Amino acid sequence: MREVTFLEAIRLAMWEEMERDPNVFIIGEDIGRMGGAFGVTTGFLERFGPDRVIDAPISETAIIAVAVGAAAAGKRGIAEMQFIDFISYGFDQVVNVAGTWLYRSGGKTPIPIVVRGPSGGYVGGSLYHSQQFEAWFFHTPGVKVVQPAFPDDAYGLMKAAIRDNNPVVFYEHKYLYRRIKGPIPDASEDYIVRLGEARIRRYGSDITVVTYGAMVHFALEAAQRLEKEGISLEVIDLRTIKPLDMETILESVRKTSKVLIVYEAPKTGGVGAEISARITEQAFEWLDAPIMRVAAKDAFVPFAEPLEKFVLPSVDDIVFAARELAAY
Amino acid sequence: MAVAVIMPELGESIVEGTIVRWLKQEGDSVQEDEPIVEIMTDKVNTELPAPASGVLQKILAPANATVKVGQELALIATASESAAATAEPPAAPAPVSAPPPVEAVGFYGGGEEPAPVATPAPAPAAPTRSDGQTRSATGQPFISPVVSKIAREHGISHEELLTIPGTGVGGRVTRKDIEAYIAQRKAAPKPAPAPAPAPAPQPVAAPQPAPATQPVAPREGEEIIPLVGMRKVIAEHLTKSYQTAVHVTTVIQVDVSKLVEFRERNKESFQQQYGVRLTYTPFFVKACTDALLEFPMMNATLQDDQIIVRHYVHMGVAVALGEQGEEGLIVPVIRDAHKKSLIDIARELEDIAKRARNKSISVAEVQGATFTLTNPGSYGALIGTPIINHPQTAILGTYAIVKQPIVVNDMIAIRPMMNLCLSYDHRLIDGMYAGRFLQRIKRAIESFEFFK
Repeated sequence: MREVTFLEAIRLAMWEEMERDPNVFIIGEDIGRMGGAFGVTTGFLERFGPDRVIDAPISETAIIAVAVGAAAAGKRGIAEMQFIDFISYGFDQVVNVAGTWLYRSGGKTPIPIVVRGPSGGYVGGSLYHSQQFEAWFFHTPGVKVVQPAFPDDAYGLMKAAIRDNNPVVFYEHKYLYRRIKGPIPDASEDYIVRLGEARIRRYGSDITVVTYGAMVHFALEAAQRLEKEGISLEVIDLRTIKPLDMETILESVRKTSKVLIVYEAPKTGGVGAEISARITEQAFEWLDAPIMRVAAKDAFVPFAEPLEKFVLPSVDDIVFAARELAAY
Repeated sequence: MAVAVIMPELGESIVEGTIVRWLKQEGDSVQEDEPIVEIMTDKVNTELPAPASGVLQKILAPANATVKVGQELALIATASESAAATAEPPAAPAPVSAPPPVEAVGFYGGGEEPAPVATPAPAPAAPTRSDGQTRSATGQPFISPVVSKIAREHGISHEELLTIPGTGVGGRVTRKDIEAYIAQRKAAPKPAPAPAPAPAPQPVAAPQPAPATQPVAPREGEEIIPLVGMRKVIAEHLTKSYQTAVHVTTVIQVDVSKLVEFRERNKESFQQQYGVRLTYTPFFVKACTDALLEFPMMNATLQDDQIIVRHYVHMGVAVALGEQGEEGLIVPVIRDAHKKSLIDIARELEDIAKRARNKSISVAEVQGATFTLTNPGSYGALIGTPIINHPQTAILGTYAIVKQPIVVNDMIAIRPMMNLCLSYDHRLIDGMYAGRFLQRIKRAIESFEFFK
């Protein structure tokens, strides 16, 4: 067991996978000599050399394209987005190139890449350094989407993502990077967390909260506050957003009959909309209240702190929604 | 004032119906007595007239909904009210003064289009969260899906459900409320004989009573059709009959030479003289009716420990609906057939069958038959075992007329032959009695004693 930050967990996972498999390489902006904007790749260049730790020009298209091309030739590329917001420049590479390749090649050529980077708000990052556009890739066939909330999951999921033969978009919430610490297994344990499995982070009986990323911590805090009022939340941390672990969600829904979905992205067309629809399709007869969502307003994340708070969901928002659901 | 359109009592045994379609839509103006909705019951399809003139304000039971007798189907805003309503935006009872759509405006670039996200929804049907409204538009308390499911699994009726104290918004019964109620009911020594509630209503514990319909997911090449309306009633009715009566079928062959000959010879003059097409069925109705008066047990009903014997005949005649019979089957009744002449019967039969097919038959016209005649011969069937039309005692099937070589006076002759198949309830009728009854009909047809 090692007690590490969320960021360190990701760093160790990549390090150990690069030690384990010489095909794994990483490419991104300032990841070599500088060690990454957040220091996730500190020491990588010295250990693995410039062939496997590639400082790229400022072109997300090129960064992802290199990873994709190398993957087609048998490598396993990790493409770092300095901020995941900029994945939009490489959108075509993810959606039309990486996502379709296995299909286009008649199942012959998998594209084992991980496109990863810091996401999310609450740090005053403003427009291009705060977004949570996971719904884009949630909507894309052929691509898996991951967003952990705790160091052990970040560690185990990153290893699984690197070993997975499909393109994986890996969201690392920057708010969690250094705030959250926790134990992770030792390298010798070869610990992985399989993609597609949610985890119940808190058991409860009144309301099922389905969430992921930083919102898991918000939901847990809300659950603590509501416990004093006699309202019991069950908090499901999706961990992998796609493929979605409906089994775990439905089992909980059948227990509580009330559902609150919390996500940091703009509410309209978000991941929560799909989850809500699936619950209605698959467990309508188990519902005792409307499925509710707490999410960001349909706006970009502003720079000014009060405005950022206004746009993004808060612990209070979760508490209020949960109270309303409990009383329904 | 709004006037409610109420599901009327359409017949003695009819407790519910299904909305086929609305002939008027919300916002349409309607005249009193103008048909506004088509309803299918187990017996007939019928159109309901508007109870008042005005504007159809709100449809409370959409197409395909199953509605109980007495239930409100729609609201009609009468003249004075609709005048006021039409002064405002059409057909929207709640005045829509939209607040500025603040939250819809994007943080940047909201200026051009005030995105239509924040349209205040009138949402009258479903209960909304914040306003404490838990009554649906029908005025009934809102029952959530899970509460409804638990109630069904534990045999709790709608009426009983309404007596459970609710702790939800506006007194709504929550899942916890009904679970507490069930736990309490179980703990209590001897309340109503609850049919063995499953111990934990948590996951998919198999419910003991009335297994809930599990939605079936269609596989490749399949489709799922809900069992509703006429089909459902036919299914229930036949099951009941088959489970109640002890069915046995006896078959007799009839030489219909004279009948066929008569029809061939007279069908045109008959049509001219009486304005009715001459078919075989009136002859069978007539022969059967006469036989029933002589064999009244065949015309009886076994009810508990009593046998109701009729000395009159209301003859039910099965009529298939739809080109291929795909729209079900209906059994219109020729009332007091024993008092009617062959011509009367022919005329009534044509009229009633036509109206059954175009669905303009009244409920009374399909009720009260004492015996049923069915004609699988019309689609070429040679022989069969009809199921009794419960609670009657017997049913006679007339099968296809086919030319056959038969022995007449020790010679082989070619004659048009027909099978009569009589299914009867063996609890009341013994084989001999049934045989004599069939012989009576056979004789009437073969000797052609209709115009005596």
